[in-house]
Amino acid sequence: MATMENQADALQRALFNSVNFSSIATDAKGVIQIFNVGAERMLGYAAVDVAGVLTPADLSVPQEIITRATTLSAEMNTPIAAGFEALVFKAARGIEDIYELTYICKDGTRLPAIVSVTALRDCQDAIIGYLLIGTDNSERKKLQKKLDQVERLASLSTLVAGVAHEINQPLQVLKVTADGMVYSHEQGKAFEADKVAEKCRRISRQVDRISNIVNRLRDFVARSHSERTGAVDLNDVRQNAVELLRERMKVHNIRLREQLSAERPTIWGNSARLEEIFINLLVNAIQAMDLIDAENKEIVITTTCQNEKVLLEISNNGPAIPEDIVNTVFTPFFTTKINQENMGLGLSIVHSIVTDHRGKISVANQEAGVSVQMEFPRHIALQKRREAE
Amino acid sequence: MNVLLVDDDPECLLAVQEELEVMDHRCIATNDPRVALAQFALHDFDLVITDYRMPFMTGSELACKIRTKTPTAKIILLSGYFVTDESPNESLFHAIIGKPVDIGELKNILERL
Repeated sequence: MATMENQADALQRALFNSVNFSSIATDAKGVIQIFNVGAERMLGYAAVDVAGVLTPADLSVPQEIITRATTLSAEMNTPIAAGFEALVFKAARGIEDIYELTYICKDGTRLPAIVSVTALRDCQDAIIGYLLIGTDNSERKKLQKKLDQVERLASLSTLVAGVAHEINQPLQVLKVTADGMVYSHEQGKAFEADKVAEKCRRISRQVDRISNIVNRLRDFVARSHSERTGAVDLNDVRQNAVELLRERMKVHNIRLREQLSAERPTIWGNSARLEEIFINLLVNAIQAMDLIDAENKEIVITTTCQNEKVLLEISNNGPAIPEDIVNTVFTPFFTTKINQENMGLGLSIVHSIVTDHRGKISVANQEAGVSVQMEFPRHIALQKRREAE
Repeated sequence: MNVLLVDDDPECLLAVQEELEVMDHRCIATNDPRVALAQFALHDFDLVITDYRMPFMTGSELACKIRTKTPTAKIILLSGYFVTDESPNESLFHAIIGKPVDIGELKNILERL
């Protein structure tokens, strides 16, 4: 019996001291008590450097703690301080909590980790401390970054195809107008000053058209490089995407109808990525409707505020999605459009952007056409929420 | 020559129309292919110049409809929309000119017709 207990103890010690994950145990206030070999290896600190002195929050990127506190405050509907409390708030209430956290190592480097938090209780069920088990997440992070780049590239290529056409129109006018003036001159035809001025005004208008397109593209690129998140009004985000594609819808003979919420449909997120939702869904709808021959082609964008939610719907009266594939449309590289510029990433990109914004997405066939419906948590400024309480 | 010109972009339409007139051609211009069909039925044209991507029908569809009435009609396609889209049926046209069009090229083609 004694040997069995010894063996169990030995196993427990070995388990706790495994080098493959960091185990950090704290007292109820968060002060580190145990710092295992894995934690020493991953973070570069010796146990004696941190035990009794620091909390896991001191070893984490401060900005992440602040963000986590803000998000949790909103989610749990109660103010949570940006410190150790933010790391264990859920675990202390018996809610399973696994999240991403970036540790700062002794040499200053950052280590992205996935952390699982458990409250440690005594026999009276009182919390005596917390256990934070962390695994190295850097490989997955690198992979995710590469995937994001592929997605962005795919969004861009669908966009570029449309923009090329938009630029070509004014180029055509420029070329014909300038060539025509040269031709007339060479033919020895007389120019009236009024006529020349009129042609110059036309040339100037075309330059405006092109620079307008270039500016919108520059906006788009600048914002896609930005990792910044903030309060975003979906009606505003929609505006830029619609402007980029307005010409393309026009040449495809599609009418755009917009039913926009009068109350601001504000969510928390990255405006450039949210814009990609509109671009991908609109381009998708435009391509789908090419397959039908109708005079009343229509895309409808609807935004709605509903209590704690913001709803977004983009629908079209194009061909229905065959029932057998309706569940696979969000899979990467799934496409029904062969031999086109399309890479089959559009809807999977939309899906991942929506999920990243803690939203839900579904697609359904309607009486006439297809509807993509999305739901996001509505962002109401914390201040406002507290006032309301 | 009597030319029927169709392009849904009003600026493009006017620019090409003026250049055709500089080259001493008479030109009826419209941005609606349905109007173009009506005009074609009303007047005698030596040539039709059409854009490809337009509301209501493509340049190919317009050419088909014209040919069912007048199989010998001369039709030129003027378009910048071949980058990624489906390619137009070449047999429908006497010539296909990509945008931006070169006036010299257009003039040469008109002279050869």
